[in-house]
Amino acid sequence: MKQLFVWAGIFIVFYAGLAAGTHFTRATNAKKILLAIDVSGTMESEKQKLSGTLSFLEQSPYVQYKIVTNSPNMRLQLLQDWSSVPDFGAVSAITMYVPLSLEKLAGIAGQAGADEIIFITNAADTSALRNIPDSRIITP
Amino acid sequence: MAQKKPGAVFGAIIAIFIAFIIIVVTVSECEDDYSTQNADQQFGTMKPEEAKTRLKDMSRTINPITSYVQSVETLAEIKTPNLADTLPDPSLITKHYPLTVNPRDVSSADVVIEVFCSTEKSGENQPDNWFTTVARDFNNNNVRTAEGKRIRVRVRYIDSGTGYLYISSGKYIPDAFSPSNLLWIKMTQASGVPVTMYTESLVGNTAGIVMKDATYDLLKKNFGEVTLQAVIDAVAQGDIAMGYTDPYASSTGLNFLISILSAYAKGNESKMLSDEVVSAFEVFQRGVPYVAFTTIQMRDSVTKGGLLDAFVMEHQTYLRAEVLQNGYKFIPFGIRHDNPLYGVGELSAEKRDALAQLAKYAESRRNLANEFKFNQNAGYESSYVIPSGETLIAAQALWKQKKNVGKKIAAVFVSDVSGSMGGYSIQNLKIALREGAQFIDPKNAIGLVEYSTEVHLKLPIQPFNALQQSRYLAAVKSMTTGGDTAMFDGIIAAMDLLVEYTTENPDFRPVLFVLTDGQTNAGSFQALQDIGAIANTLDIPIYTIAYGEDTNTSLLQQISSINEAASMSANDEAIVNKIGALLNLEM
Repeated sequence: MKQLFVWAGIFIVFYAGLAAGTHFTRATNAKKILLAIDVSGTMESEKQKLSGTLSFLEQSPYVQYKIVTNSPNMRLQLLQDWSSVPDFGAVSAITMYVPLSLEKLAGIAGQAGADEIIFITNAADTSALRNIPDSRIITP
Repeated sequence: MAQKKPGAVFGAIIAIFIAFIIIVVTVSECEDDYSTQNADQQFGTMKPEEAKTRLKDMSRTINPITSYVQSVETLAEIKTPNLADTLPDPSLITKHYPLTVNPRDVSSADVVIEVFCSTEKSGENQPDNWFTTVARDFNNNNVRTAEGKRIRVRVRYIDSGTGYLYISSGKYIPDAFSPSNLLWIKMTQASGVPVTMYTESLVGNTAGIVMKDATYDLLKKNFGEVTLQAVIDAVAQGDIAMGYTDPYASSTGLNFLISILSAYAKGNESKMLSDEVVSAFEVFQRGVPYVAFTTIQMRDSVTKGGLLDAFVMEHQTYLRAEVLQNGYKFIPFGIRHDNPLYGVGELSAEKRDALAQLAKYAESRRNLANEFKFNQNAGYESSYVIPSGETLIAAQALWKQKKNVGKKIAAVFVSDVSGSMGGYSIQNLKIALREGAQFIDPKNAIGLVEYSTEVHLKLPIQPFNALQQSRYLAAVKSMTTGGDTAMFDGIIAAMDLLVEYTTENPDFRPVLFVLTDGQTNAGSFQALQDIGAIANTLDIPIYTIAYGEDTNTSLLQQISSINEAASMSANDEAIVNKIGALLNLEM
């Protein structure tokens, strides 16, 4: 009986350690997804729909999100730093009213050190975003 | 004892002198404090509901007489609003736009040329009189044409917008035109009047955006560098509030408007009036609390911590404004303001020769202009290619249409019909109100209050549709003078009407236009403090037009300063144009 408890204890400690190690490893190496939002004028009517459009995004401790834009205002270029929950509230506060450069959005996204980049734009010509590795384009 | 007297007298004199110095210093400091106070500090604020209650109580005390007009006046044929129609008659042009150079020794053998000249260089006194000085020296030198005829130059002191209106409408054609910038020349050409260039630049100047260092630092932090593009984006995002002057009257205002449209169109003239650019302009315009009637209105707002964070101004004016020399930045924008000189219309050979000689002489005196603070931004290059005159005229019209970006205005005209306004004063006031109606957008709402010893509500506030227009015209026609001047009672009653209307119609923004000589001598309320805190709390701009024989412009300026509105003076026929321009700007 005593041996059973000893083995059970060893088993629990082993699996708890394994779980903690796995969690720690996955958390410290969380997948980094960059949400690069085009804040051109044509996106003004779409900004309220963003959270719906991106509802497929997984929310777990092992995925981190960062939100950037191509606003000319640097204060509005980084809307959210790495976080497990993407928050689109700050996007709503941006007045989108003029065409903005997708090249600039690509440049900002390229410097973010992300595992995956999701560009969100409804621009007709997205050629500037096409050759970015590990990226995809979503139209709201 | 007798020996002590001179010492005592000397001591007394010294004591009186010191006391005098203390009083003078104290008074001057008080004046400084007053001049730098904003409305909150000067008048205080209260809770809006308290302000409304107090206003209602005051209105009950005044007990205005409701005498709404029952008649209607036939509307004239609907015509396109045109500021040129409101200009003083050409026969009176010298009364309103004087000749600052007008040689008396003109003979029939001389070649006489008249130049319409923008006001920053054609004034009577330093530092506005560079061209005045040059033209006088030119006349004194008795310069002659190739055929030996003596040249005599006349210089008319007239702002560029008004000069353009006279010329383009054909009401008055001078021999030459020297506006602040080339935009007016392009528009003159587009209106069908031929022009000939004599020099692209009499003196150098630029237009720019003036802002506090703190605003500049904020923009630099957010945008990396402070450019026009950064400023207009910050305005559109609501980060800063910007003011600019009327593009129909001001060279700087027009340059700013075209700069914005050009920036949005990325310099492509064919896109400047496109839906995309117009839509962007409307977003920008939401960040503009008001388009100012005068530069001083905006300067005071920025320096006294009012609604504005930045405003537009010419560089030469900026350098002359002592209050802006510390703690402010100037960011040039748009095209240069190089004061071109153009011949107007088909000129005779001798006049062309005379103008060429004048231009050559003026260019030789450019160094003198440095003393007048011109030529200080020589390295700045224009940031856009000037569009065609037709596009510029269309841009002005677009601005008129879009400047309020859907914000409707409820305005009450408060007219002084006291005895002192009799005769020509009331006649011209009636013409001004009648002519001014063409500039009021029908979606805005208008009311009319008149006062003398008592206050009469003549026209309830209603949208300015055809019926309201015909009632308005009838109310104006019925105005008669007599009695004393209860100006503050009139303002209070009008504010009460506005508050009632805007409470029921919250999408309307209230505005008061007070037309008066300002000589208050009757009524239940006779002090500025009676209305200051209420108008400040309820945010009702009060535009004042000082008009009549003996005006108290100082009081009217203080009233207008409560909510950063403009105060202006007009006399005789000029009031028609002044009110027309004001309504074109605000309504």
